[in-house]
Amino acid sequence: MEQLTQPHSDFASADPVFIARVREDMLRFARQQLGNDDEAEDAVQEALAGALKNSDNFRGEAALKTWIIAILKNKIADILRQRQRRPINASQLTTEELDGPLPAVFDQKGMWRDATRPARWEDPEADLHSRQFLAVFDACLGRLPPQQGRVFLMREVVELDTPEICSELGLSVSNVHVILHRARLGLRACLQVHWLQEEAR
Amino acid sequence: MMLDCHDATFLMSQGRERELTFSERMKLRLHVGMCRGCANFEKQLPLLGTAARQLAAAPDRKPDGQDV
Repeated sequence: MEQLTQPHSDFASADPVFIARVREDMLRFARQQLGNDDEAEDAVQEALAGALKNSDNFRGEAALKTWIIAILKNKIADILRQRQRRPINASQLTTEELDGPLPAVFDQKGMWRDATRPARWEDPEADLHSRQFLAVFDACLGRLPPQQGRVFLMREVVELDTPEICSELGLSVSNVHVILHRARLGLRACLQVHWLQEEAR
Repeated sequence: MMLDCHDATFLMSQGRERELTFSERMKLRLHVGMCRGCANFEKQLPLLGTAARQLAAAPDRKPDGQDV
């Protein structure tokens, strides 16, 4: 992004008290959206400088503020898009992004939906030795959100314990518990659809 | 307090990583005793781990081209 040499040179026509107030609002908004103070500061600075270049076109502070916020939203959207293309740093992610979604197996009261309520598994011992079953299981693993699949395998196949997984991936204990719960719900639901129900037909 | 199925399965899942407290085990037993779906989930939960280990131990299935 271009360097801003004298961001304040464009502010001449706008009331400094008004600008200071708008700036506070913008910063709060940008911090909330980006979760990172430095990036928020930069985005606000650039949005303000960009907006105020054309501030003479605006009559009234309300219109100017609307314009500035619109530009800020665009900046934030750009930053968020760039982030998605960058390797992800776990500490910047929200819980939802870290854990991956909860599979839609429960209703709003937290009870099993009819379609996803676990059914009996007739002969698991035989299935666990069947190549066809393992191929379906493999496909279901591949459908998990990547983080859920990775943590599940670290736990169940590599047999790392929770503190080891936490330090390996920079996750909290409760993240790991949530991720494993979701992975197991998702895997089991996938197996029910693609193995247990297919078999029953 | 009664558990819902989400909370019950969350405790069962955590039971594979840590020892549940006495009170958690009591609440879980109470729920599973009344909920067929969660009772089935509880039986199937350890099998997911078994399946993952079987898969990891299985010889590569790709060369014969039959199962993939």
